[in-house]
This record gives sequence, C-alpha cells and structure tokens, in this order.
Amino acid sequence: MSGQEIDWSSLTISVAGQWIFPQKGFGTYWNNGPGLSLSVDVPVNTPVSLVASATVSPHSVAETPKRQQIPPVVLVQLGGGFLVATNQTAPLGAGFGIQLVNNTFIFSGPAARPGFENAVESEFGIAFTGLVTWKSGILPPLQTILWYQPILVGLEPVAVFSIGLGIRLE
Amino acid sequence: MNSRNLAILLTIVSWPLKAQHDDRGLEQRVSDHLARTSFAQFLSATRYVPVVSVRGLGNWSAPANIVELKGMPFETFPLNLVSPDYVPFDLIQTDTIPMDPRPSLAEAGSYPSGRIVLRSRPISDSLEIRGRVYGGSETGDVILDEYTRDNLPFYNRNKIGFSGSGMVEGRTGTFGYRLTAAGFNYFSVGYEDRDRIVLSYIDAPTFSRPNRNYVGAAELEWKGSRGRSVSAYAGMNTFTAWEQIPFASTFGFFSGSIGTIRLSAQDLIPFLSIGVRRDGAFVSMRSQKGTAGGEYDESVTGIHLLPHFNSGTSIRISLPLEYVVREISVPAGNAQFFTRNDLRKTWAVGLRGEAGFAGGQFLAAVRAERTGNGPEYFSATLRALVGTSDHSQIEVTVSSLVRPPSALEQHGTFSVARIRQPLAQTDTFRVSGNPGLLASRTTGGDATFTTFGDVRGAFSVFAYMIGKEIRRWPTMSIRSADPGDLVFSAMYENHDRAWYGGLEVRLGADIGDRMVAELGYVWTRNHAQLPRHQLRFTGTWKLAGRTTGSVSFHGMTRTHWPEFAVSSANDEFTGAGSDGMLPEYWTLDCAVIQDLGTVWFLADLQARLELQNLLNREVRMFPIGVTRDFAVIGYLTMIL
Repeated sequence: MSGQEIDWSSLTISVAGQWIFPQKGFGTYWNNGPGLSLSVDVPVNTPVSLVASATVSPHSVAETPKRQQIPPVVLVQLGGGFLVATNQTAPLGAGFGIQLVNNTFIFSGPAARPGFENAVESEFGIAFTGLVTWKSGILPPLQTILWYQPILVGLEPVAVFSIGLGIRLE
Repeated sequence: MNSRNLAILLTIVSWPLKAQHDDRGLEQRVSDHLARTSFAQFLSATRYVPVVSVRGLGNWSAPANIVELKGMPFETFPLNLVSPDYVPFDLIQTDTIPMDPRPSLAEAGSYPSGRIVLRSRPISDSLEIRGRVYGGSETGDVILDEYTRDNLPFYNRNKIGFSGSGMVEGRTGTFGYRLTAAGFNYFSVGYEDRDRIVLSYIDAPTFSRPNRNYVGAAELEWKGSRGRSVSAYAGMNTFTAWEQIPFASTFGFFSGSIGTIRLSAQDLIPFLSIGVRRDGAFVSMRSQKGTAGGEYDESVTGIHLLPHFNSGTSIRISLPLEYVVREISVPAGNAQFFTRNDLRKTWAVGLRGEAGFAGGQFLAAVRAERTGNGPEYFSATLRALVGTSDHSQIEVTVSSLVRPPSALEQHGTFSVARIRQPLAQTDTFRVSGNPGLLASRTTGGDATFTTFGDVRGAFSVFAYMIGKEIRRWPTMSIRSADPGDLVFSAMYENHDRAWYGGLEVRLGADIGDRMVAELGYVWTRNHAQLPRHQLRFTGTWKLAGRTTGSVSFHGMTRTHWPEFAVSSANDEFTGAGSDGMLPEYWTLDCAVIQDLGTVWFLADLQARLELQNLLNREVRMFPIGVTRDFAVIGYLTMIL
C-alpha cells in the first residue's frame, strides 16, 4: 500500500427524497415515481471523494395500448464512483460526480415473466450528478441533487433523470 | 518432481511468459491470467470453456494436454477440451503461471504442444485468509424491450453472476496446509441476435441454462531437512457448461465433475523423487430434442519415478520413469461420447542431462514410450542457453516429440440434432472417431534473443512441423492430414515496465505466419482458426496516491472457419451465405483500481472496476458463438 490512508471516520451519510423521471422507452411505458436514496462518501484526496449510493423507486405502468402486457417495476440503482466537491467548508458548496450504476429492474404482477425471461434483471448505466449543499449552522446541511443516468439497456438505451432534496449527516 | 531444479530451469526458459502477479488487469479465471501474453490463444464458442493453444501448437480439433499441476501432467479434461479453467485449481492459489511455449519433455511427462504450469504459491508461515468476490455483465440486455416489443429474438448477453474464491492457509511446525474454495457463475444465451442460421442449430431452452464451475482444493505439505518434502493435493471441479464439441461443428450442453489426488515425495529416499497421481472425470450430456444424451467416466492413474544425481551444483542427470493407466468406462447402451470401454497402459522411460556453466545452461532429454502392444515412440529435446553479454542471452531449442492419439480421437462418437425450425426439419449430424489414427509428431526448433535492462524484451523465431494433425469434418469420420502443418512464428514481446512522465508502459506483440509444409501459402484448416497476428498493449498509471488506472488494447487478425461456410444456394434463410471468415477485431479495455486500506477487519481491501470493450465494438471469436460488447466487471479482494 502506498499513498495517504483513507480516513474512514470522515465518512458522511446522506439521505434524500427524489422524484424519478424515466426517459425514452422507459418513460413511454412507465410513469414517473418517487424515490428514496441513501449515499455515503469519504474523502480520498481533496477535493475528490469516493461515493456510493442506493436509490429505490417504484414505477407504475403508463396508459398505452400495451398496458395489459407490461408489469409495474421497482428500479433499484446501486452506484459507486467519484465526487469532486468545492467550498466544502463554506456555507454554500457545489459538487459534481460520476458513478457507475447497476440498475436492477424488479417486475411484479401477472404480466411479469419468471424463468429465462427474468422477472428480475439488471443493467449498467453511467450517472452524472450535480450537488448543491447549504450549511445553515442550525439545521443539518441540506442538499439538492440532480441526477442523469443513461442506462445501457436494450436495443435502444434509455435514461432516468431525477431531482431530490436531502440532508447530510456529517 | 524436483521443484528446486525445475524452478531454476523455468526461470530461464519461461520468464518472458509470466503474467505478473501485480498486473492491474482483468482476472476472473486462470485463462484470463494467461491471456495477458500473446503466446496463449483461446478458442471458445461460449467464452466459458476457453480451449487454449500455446503459440498455435495445439488446436481445437485435436486438443493436446498442456497443463502441469503439482509437477505432473493433468489430462482428464471433459471431451478433451483442454482448458486451464477445467482443472481442480483456482487462480487465488497462485502467484504466477509460467508457460513454456514450445514442445518440451519435463521431468514428469511429455508436452508436445507446450506447457502451462499451474504452480501454487508458497504456503504462508502464519495463518492467512484471502478472499475475492466479483460479478458483472455485458450491457444491452433487452430488459424493458421484452415487455414492450413484439417478436423479440433471443438475446446474446453475458453475465458473470456473483462469483469469488477464498483461501485459508498456515503452517504448524513442519506441516503446511491450504484450503481453497471457489465458484464461478456465468450466464450466456450464446448466439447472436436475429441470426436465423444459428437459431437452426440450437435448442434454446437447453442453451440458456447457466454455466458454472465450483472448485474445492486441499493441500498438505511436510518439509524436512536436506530438501526432503512430502506434499499431498486433492481437488474437485464440478461444472455445467455448453461448448462446441471437439471435431464437430455442433454444440453440447454437458455437466460433470473433475477430481484429482496427487502425492509427491522429494528425496525421502536419497536421489529419488516420487510422484503419484489419480485424476478422474465424469461427463454427461443432457438430451436435447431429437438427440440422445450420454455419459462416460475417465480416470488416469500414474506413477512417476525420478532417480537423479547431482554433481555439485552444475550437472544433474535424471532418469524419468513413468507408468500411466488411462481408462474410459461407459454404461451399457451409451450412445454419446463412447460406445465401449477403453483401457490403455503406457510405459515411458527417459534420460535427462542438465549442465550449468559460466554464462549458460544446457539441457538434453530423450524419452521412449509404449502403450500396450503398440509401437514404441521416441521423443527428444535439446536446449542451450548462452549469455551473449551482461544484458542479453540467446536460447536455442530443437525437439521432436510424439503424441499418441487419445481414446476420444480413435473411438469417440457424437451425434447432435440441428433443428431447422423454419423448415420443420431436424437433421442429425454424426461424427465418429478413427480407430486407425496414428500418432502425431511435432518437430522443429526455436531461438529466442533476450535483453535485460531498463526495458526488457525478447525476440523469438519459431518453426515446428506438426505431423498428422487431426482434421474435423462434419458428418464424417475424423481423419488425419498428411504431411502436416508447419507452424512458423516470429515474436517480439516486451514485458518489463518503463516510465514515461509517470506513465508506466508495457508493450507486447506477436507476429506470426502459418503455412503448410509445401510452403504454398494458404490458411490451413487447423490453424486458420487462430489469428496470424496479435498485438497487445497495456499502460498503467497512478491517478492518485491510492488510485491506479490502466488501459489495454488488444488486436487480432481475422480467422477462418471453413466448416461454417455456407454457400448462398444452401442458405435457405437469407440467401446470402457465409464464407466462414471472422473479421479482425480490436478491443479497448480500461480499469480503475482503488486501494481501500483496512476497513473493519478486512485488510488490504482493494476494489477494481473493469470496463471491457469500451467502444462497444461487437466481437465474435467463433462463427456461431457469442458476441462481446461493452461489459462491466467489479472486484473486491481482501486479506483477513
């Protein structure tokens, strides 16, 4: 091992509520849905942090002619990557990140097909994130989140876009 | 056998071929480790059973035994598919896997098509527990499209399920022990989207089953004074897999288990090393629609004696003696693989002389072997290594080694149905062994010039004649080709590291030509399946104190698979036909490695992320095999 040791005591947890907007084919056949996300980050080399995140969101089936053959889906996004933060000690700071995300699609209901055509499948995507953090000094730091993730799924890639508001437990 | 002397020899003859332990690349299985060099070429329809050919000396039609485990040959591969991943051994057990890229006579066994040494790392003096987990998949699954699009074809995506390995080792007094367990789960539908020709060959429900390997191994060793040692090794590899069947342009989904027990004693009796091996395999093929299943048991029992005499430290004379019993047994009425039992007893005796002198080393070895009442075969090899300066050496080898035909080549039988769905027609293809098949002989030589220094490199020229190599023809008997193929290659490889402005670079290249003996240039049937040219480039650099990145480029020239050519007149699906050519390809991979230090009770925790085929180019290594595109694989390794 070489280089500076990671200070795991600097690990920070964030919790946020999000609104998830499926895009392209995903958005055509499934509706927007609420999401709950949990993320942790730890500085490795200022201003770079390692970050890992998990987001869960349910999506009901949209009104289309194919509605009867499409099951509702729960999307679980598990990501890991790097975050670059600026003005970390200032009241107002910003951050930009990139994460490799594993998306698990959990289908349920009578239209879901188990077996070879799995009712649970996963695929990778790359998420680009933007963060704005406000430290009031009274409340825990508040954070707004923008998230755009192209998912490399299917014959034509889809995407999810989300906005969220959360708190950091430093 | 005598590991010390063998190790000395190997450090000289095979250093350029070691995939280094601290390489920052993709490593899931042994084949991934070997693929770091351009010497190892792999043939696989599924990527799951990678049959290895060292420098084109073996081929898929007639795989040759090239794997050495615990100082003795390992032979009981399922259906002769010689894959280093189908051995009771896991990558976590080793530091390096040396290759000898030429026909070689070892102290125990003969390797006419080169040798891959699965060498265990030394057992730690203190209790140590190592582990790694990994998983990943190719992108492009039609997850959503399955519900939103009609008449979607089967898709070809590959996924490594949750896989990993663990190892515990330690030492109590003069005894050392190691226990290893590993599991590899792989899912691949295995044929190309929308390829209706391919769809006519397969039975989708059968071939959509997952492939897997589960490995367990135990080692125990005792080390005494004056170099005396005894070691015992036992291991098991159970598997389910689908792959192209040797000799035939057909597929099989087979399952079974491979096991081994190996004992070796060094110098318990002065001047005598003893090795005993008992390898076994059980293989079965499930029934497809319209095709009979089948099974067989195979065992190889061998004893290797090595009387040896050393004169000081510079001369060593040894007399390898071996007796090997190879047995195949099948149930009554078996219709696949074998229809009858087979028993072969082989005696072999040899003479080896090794001499070290100032600035060089010399090796001469001869071997005579005989199976049952069959003919007696002689093999020989001569090798000289001379230092040409303080920073360079030249090594010359000439050898002529024989390889008797295996039971599968002589008495094997395969029949597989090809279901032509659009025509509502089922064709049964049958391939039979050739009882009259004769032994093949590989004769030739190579020379390697090696330089040492800040940048270390090797240049090698290489020519071997492979006599009576086996060809496969669909719906016909296996037959031999005469006079054989001349494998010629020239190679440049640089395995050492250089620094350019913080960028650590390693470059490897392989350039080869393969011609028939009459020197009329053609793509021979045997070796056209291997690329004539390969280029591999790897660069690594430090992104931050504990973060490392690497980029790897790999290019291969086109390959030709004449058995898979389809004339336009016979192509009832598209009318376009196929010439059996696979185009050249190149891939760009990258990896990010993050050392995480100690986290809770996990020491040396390291996370690695591999992005393969970064530019998402479709790559296929077999005419009706799987395609590869962008894939992501993540690893965690740790020591407790």
